[in-house]
Amino acid sequence: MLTPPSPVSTTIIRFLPSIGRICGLRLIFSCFIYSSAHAIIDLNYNGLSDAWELKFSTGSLAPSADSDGDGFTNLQESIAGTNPFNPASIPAAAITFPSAQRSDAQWFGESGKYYSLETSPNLTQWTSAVSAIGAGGLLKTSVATGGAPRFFVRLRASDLDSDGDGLSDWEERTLGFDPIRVFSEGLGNSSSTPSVRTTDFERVRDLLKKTAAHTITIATSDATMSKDWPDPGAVVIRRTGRLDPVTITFTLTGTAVAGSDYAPSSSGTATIPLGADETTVTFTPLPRTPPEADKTIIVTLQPNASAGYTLGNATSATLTISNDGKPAAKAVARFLTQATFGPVDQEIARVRSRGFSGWIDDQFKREPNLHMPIVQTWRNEIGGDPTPTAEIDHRLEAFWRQAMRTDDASDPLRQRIAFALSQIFVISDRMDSLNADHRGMADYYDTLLRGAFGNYRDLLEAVTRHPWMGLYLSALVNRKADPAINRFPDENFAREIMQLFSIGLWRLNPDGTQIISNGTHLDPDGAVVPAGEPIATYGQSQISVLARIFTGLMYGTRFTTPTDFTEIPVTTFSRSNGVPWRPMRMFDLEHDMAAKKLAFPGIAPLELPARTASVPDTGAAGEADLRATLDYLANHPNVGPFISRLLIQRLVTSNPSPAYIGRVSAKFADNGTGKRGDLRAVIKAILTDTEARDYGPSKSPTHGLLREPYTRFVALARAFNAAPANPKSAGGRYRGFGTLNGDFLQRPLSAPSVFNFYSPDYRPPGAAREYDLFSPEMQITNSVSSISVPNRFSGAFAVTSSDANATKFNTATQSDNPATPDVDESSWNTRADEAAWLVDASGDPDILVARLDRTLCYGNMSPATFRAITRAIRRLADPMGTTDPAVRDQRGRVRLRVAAHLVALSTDFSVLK
Amino acid sequence: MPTLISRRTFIGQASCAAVGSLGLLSTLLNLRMANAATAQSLTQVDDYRALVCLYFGGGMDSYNLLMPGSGAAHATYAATRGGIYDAKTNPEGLALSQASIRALTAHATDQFGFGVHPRCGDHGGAPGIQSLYGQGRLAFVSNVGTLVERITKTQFNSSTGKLPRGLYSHADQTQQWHTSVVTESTGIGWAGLAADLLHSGNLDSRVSMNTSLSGNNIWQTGQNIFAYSIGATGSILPSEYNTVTATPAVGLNNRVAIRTAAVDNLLQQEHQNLLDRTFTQNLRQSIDASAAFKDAFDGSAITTLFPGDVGYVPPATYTSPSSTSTGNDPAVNLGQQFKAAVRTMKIRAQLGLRRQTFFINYGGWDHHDEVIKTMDVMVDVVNRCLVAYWAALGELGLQSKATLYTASDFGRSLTSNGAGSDHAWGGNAFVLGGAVNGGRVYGSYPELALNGNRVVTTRGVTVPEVSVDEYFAELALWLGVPPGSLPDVLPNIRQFYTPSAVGPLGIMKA
Repeated sequence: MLTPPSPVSTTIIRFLPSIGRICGLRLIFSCFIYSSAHAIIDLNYNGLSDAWELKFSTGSLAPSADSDGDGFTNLQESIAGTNPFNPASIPAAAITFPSAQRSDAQWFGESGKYYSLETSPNLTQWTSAVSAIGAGGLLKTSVATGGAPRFFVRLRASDLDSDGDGLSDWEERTLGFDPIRVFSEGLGNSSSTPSVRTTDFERVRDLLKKTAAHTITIATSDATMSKDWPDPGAVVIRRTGRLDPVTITFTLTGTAVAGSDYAPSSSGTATIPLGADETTVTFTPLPRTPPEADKTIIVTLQPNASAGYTLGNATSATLTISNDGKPAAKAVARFLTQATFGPVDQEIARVRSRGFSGWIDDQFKREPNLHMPIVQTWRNEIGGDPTPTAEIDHRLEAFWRQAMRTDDASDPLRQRIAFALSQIFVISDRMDSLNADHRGMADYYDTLLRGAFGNYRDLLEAVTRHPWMGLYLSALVNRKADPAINRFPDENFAREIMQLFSIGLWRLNPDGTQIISNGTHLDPDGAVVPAGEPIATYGQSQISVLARIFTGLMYGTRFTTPTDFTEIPVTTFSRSNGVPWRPMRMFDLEHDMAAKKLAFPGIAPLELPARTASVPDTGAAGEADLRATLDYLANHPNVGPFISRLLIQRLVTSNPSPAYIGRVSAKFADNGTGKRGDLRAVIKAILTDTEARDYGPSKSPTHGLLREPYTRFVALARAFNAAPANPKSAGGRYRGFGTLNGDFLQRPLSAPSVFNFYSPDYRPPGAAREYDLFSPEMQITNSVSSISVPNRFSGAFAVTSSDANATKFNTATQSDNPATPDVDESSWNTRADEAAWLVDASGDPDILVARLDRTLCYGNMSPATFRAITRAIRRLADPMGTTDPAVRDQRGRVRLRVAAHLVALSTDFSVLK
Repeated sequence: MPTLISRRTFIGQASCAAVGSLGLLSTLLNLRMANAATAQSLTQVDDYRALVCLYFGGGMDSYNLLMPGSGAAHATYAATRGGIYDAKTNPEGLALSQASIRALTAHATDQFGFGVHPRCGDHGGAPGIQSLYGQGRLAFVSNVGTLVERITKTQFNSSTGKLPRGLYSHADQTQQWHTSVVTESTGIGWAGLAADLLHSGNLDSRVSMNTSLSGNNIWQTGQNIFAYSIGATGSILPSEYNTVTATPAVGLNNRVAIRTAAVDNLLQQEHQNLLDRTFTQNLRQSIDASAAFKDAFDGSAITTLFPGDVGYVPPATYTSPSSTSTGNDPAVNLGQQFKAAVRTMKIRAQLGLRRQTFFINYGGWDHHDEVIKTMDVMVDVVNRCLVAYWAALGELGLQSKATLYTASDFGRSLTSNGAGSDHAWGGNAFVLGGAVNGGRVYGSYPELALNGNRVVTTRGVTVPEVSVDEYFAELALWLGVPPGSLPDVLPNIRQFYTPSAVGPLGIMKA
């Protein structure tokens, strides 16, 4: 480890009273003390930080003078980090005594300065009561005075050098360095095994010594704009050689006209601030005019010797504004991020040609690409499994094959909606009995795929009748009561079908807000709900009735024997050899035949008459009860707003406005032709709503959702066209994807409980909770998974000594030898198609990262993210720095993998806005 | 060097407060100041205490964990539960036979001749639940549950007593067992509130005193402090990320340094969007806490064998789940979580923690079906993990410094639904530790007849005698919450108990 340079100034303590007054019997006295830095950079040895001198352009100042006459010397202001020319910028705390017991202090905390609030009973013995580090905002605190008659408070400011590199934390923050790292930017050169590296102190020192002109270049960071979507284009103006601010002059030419075609963030000049090495100028396209040819904006740097810079190689950058009458590519990519597992070029083209609504209509017409057939054939592919069951790998293989499809018969909207539905109508292979045969799991998923574009009522029945749901929530083999032996119907399914699959816990208005009692509303037991309180949709009595209704369900189809898999109808109330993928049927023998009354508050009750058991037992009586009850549930006014909100949360935003929910639930109530429960209408309403589609709402601080770990991973896989590296048979195998749940806390149909991976009402600690926002996906984002998820992305792009040409989507230690594909199937990898990226990855990092932005962040990457990633990539070995094509490719792959990992880790990719 | 991390964490939090709507006091400033009084009660240096919550997710059928063993009382229990279970002759019965249950050492207050589930025996010569009770290390709390106020059977039947919100519902009752607040939905748990009070007593710690082995949870979420999650193998760091503590040697892989800088740069951004901000804060804090935690934890070894350790011998009767494709042997999962908790206790000094809480969730108790067969496996898993946990505490000399308590969504119906039981209300829990006045059953175990004076509805729901507030008050006081601050942690406690230095039930030694 390098030894940090010695401090360049000695410790100075200053003591200066600034505020003092008498309040009641207490003597109030407060003051500001300064300790100078242990380490500041001071090349001119005047005791003032050079960074401070640069920040305020002080030139040569006398440390003992008070240039702005605010009562603080320049030295004191330099220690406090305040402006020596602004009398309002002073290093003083406002100290008050609002009560005999308390003193409050408030001051502006400069970034990186260390503050200590000290108290004393007598002005001689001082005790530190509170310490804090400034972050460029107000710091407020209070101390208990204990009611003492005399109580003194003072504030001490000083510098820290957390990383011991010779620059104070304030200097590092001011200059854009990392105060806790000696090497803020990694290494200072591009060799992969450097022998020399430059510390932050050395870099600043060397830059401060430079007096030559800045060298200025320009590049596009976001070259595409559309009149259909006001997301701005951007250029980056960079400088090398200096730290001090510089203002650059540029001209705007091209066929586009400023003011009518676009609005620039600044016209004519741009300033690179102190410490920074680049600045961004953005261009916002102005609203649509009739379709026309592309227009260009050409930004050209102008020399300006008097401003202290010269121009480098790249002096102009060109941006394009398209206006072809079709949806903007960025807007389409964003749409597909909501509506599918991730945008790919083919799908973007389909949406652009059909329009949003037309594309959705086309998706509705497509046949479902089911999972079960793949589970069945895949067992044959791998050589036949002697047992008639399927395992988790089989099912996930089917999931991945269908989720990855981009061909003309693909159904990306349906696949995505089914995944959303699988988190509403939850079953989970974490229950052993379900895990025992994944054919039941796969067929349940297919039930959701088939029902995704149908009617809610039909889907509810299909889910209710599915034997794997029956197993999961113990509706299968649910027998009528036998009070003689204290046996009563199972309440599990009865409860959850209401709470989770249909009406929820509280009565809702059509816009999803809770109905609040006016003092006459009744609760489920008929008691008055006090005014101002929400109203439960159901209570224990409704659960008991519903549990009786769901008695008598049993497998509908069985295998003939444990070894003869010929399917035959089930004719007695027995679960033996049940077929996991055929619907359950009713048996009147075990169905409660008595009259039942299901009464929800606020709507007319359902009266089921006493019934007579069918002979032979066709279950006709039970079926009649079941169908009537599902009708009744599906018609409850809560269903529309309840289900609409859950689907919006999966696809578009965690915190939809009531108006948005209201618009969608209106479509649930009536699809436009008088039909209720039409999921096509609901899906279309969700995805075409102004809150989902318009640019303005997307910029609201509360808009969006944290993308699920699993959907993020599929999106990455799609973006890089990941495919099995060694196809043993058609389609190959997505080896390794099944083990993702440990890192992700998520996997299709594998939630910890029927309450899904997360609650729709989860409010995470931090900013979201301060503003009372939901963020369900944050519930599985803890201090382990928040790191393990991006690590998995990193693993997907792992670079190891043995895999010069492979991008592995599975991190297990597997060989990657194509010469032995059949020896051990565990060696099969899933690889990204890096070849399609190599040209961009080998060239200008700006172009590579801009493409990643388009592909993974729908062009929404922030300038700061773009800057952080391009800086990193530029520091990696330059592919164009060699003439050896093999080395060039390898360097390009390294750049691609690092860039993709960083994008995958960024909030720009993780949060869908 | 580790202090550098705490500075950055500090910066992050101060920054958050400076721009956030909470406004007045920055998070840690507030904590250090507002709790000076609390901190004074924690001035002694070596007074470590750890509270472990073992949560049985799904609602354990705890009337089959602790049950009457004496003749008449057992007969009543058996009758209500549909008779003694027998796979062939009475598969719908939910009662365990007198012969199979394990008798607990009688206590003077014991009117029922209590027994525990058959799987509560010793393992490998080390004590299990039955023996720990006999040794006075373990106490049961009977018929404990969520309460707005004390309520009688008559009040319940006439709907004149106030009931907890969402009674019988998993989501609501789980939340209430985490918060003790039964009248509204809140995401703030009582261990989180306790940590808000107590964290300042810890010595300059970078890591939250609330450690979760089971991810985010409400119990440990406070206004300012929330859980730091670790896995069975501790904490992890980002791939190719250089921690501050690692010496940045010359020649170190260039790519690592570049990635590290880029990750730090990405996480330094300020965001307008609140989900962006939440995501970024979360990742930054996770990385910093893990950097502070990882080295100490990785070096923390114990010799006691837990399920899943090489050399651990499970009982001959135990068969791990057949499906190897998921690799989810619950004994291994739970055992390794316990082991990670004990290993974390061992490094308390390096973490600067004098108070800690641990959250361990063991789910899958929603036994609407096959309750007898499944509980047979699951109670065995719990018991064996506790055997190892207790032995490991003994290895570290921490038996009197760590207290474990159990909680679950609710008890289950006494009557059968065929082969399982349904959601109910009161249930039985236990507390384990050297600081426990063990060997007895606290509260008032109900008479289990369907016409018993605490039993309501045809399904056999027990109306709780002891409120969760009282139960938690015992534990909060032991952890160090001053009696005067108890209502800040358990808002409804005064409904049941006037806070003082003596706990409401007397479970914990002074």
